[in-house]
Amino acid sequence: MRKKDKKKRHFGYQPYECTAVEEYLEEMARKGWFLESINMCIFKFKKIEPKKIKYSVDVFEKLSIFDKDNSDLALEYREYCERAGWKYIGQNGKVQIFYSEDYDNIMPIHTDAEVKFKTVFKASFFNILLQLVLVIVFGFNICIQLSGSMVAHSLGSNMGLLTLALMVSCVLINFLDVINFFKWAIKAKRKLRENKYFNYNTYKQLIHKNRIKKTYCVILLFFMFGAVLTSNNIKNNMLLTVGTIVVGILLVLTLNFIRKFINRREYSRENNIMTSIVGYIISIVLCCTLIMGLSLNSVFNKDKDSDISSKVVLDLTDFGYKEENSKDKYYNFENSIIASNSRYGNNIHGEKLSYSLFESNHPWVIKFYEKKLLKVKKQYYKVELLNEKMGLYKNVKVYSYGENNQYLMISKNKIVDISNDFTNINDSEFLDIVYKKVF
Amino acid sequence: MPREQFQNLTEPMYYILISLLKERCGVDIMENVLEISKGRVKVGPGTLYALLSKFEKQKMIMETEVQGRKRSYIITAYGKEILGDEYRRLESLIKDGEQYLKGEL
Repeated sequence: MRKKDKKKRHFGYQPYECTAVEEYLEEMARKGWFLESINMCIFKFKKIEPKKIKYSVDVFEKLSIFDKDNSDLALEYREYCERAGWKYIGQNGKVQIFYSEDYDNIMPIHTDAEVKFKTVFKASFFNILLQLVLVIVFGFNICIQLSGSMVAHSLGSNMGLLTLALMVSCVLINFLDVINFFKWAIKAKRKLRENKYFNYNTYKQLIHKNRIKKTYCVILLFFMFGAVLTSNNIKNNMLLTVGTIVVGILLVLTLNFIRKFINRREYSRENNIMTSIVGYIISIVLCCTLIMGLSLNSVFNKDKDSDISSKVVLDLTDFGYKEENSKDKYYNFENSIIASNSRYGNNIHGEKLSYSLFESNHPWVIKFYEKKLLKVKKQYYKVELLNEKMGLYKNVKVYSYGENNQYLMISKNKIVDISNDFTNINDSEFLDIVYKKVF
Repeated sequence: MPREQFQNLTEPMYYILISLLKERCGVDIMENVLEISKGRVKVGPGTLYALLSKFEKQKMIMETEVQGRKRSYIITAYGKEILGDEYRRLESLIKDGEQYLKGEL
């Protein structure tokens, strides 16, 4: 029964949404839940008689995320607020929460809309800048994933597709936050002429927004395991995915630990900044190493199954040589819900064959990859369409590029990137064999 | 340049500066402003804190004493100058008004 007297709620917000949080807390008080304490974005409530309580979610811009909670600066500020009748509840970075039971007569902590706007703007700006950096970093990453031959992996494997989806979501969510911030800033600035503080989002909108974010995360997680279970190397991919999630949780715990460490000591702000930065760097390096280790493990532990080898559509035997398992032989096949992607290479006594094959039943996927591939090839080589010149096939476009007889063969649903390294097979014979076997 | 920024003091700024003509502890200013303005002007603690930092940075007030976490301040000569300018500005507003509005209201 005792447990029913308390409840915890996760409630994410940005400093400029402080009025929405106030509204939320006041609504909770009217329903008989009083805010007891906060820890980051976790709100702890205890049961009380339903009543009107005035809350103030106050942004104190001078506090730094590197200060310990209850720093001298924060305590000094709190004394001002307490003198005005506000009672302190808790702190999360630059945000402090106060309450008062004198709902109608308590003097607001900020009586000047312009001062409040400047404080909130400055406090939010750093976060927004960080989010902007995230958008740029991930945006850049997406561009890399979708350039040249990287497309084959990004679209041709479920893991690649999922990573892409994760990065796109990260960019979208953060970008929306940045846009929302500037939307607020512009509207608030306009409202200031009337000496009014502009409330961004009501608590219902904020709850709605948080719910959408959470649902989206759950859906992504669901897809993540879906992608793992449908991949052709369940064991390794599962290890990689679970490993990444565990590393993520460890990272959050470490950051929390650093925070607690700072709170327990009486160090200066400079010291705290150093501790945090060193802590962040060590944990990020450790995480990267772990994830790298896991992915390398999955690369080296590729199933050398005969099952996969049987999927090879084109090998040395097709050109009149004997196929053997040499040390140079590799074959890699991966597929996603929209495309598949395989690479083959072998070298028997100097007779080499290597190619990559990308297949998809969706014409737009093929078109997209074709465009990207041609663009990157044109950057380095002279690319030439051979069909008319050599009187080649109607349904397959053949491009030559580079000096070593390299070819791109593109049909409605397949793209082959291959080079003729054989000494005694001429190019048109070579292309004929590939055409017959693959298309 | 800082002069520009304070050319027109807002009401709370004006009253805070008046309140600091006498050395006073920061937290006491809220009540003092209410008293001077006869309950008309309210300065919230957050606004007061922000304005005190701003004034101190612009050297319009200075810290005189620190007792534990309690800081006391007093207005500087520069602060007085700005307050005086504002006073004269307000005075001329009144005079101009008087000249034209007398009898009409």
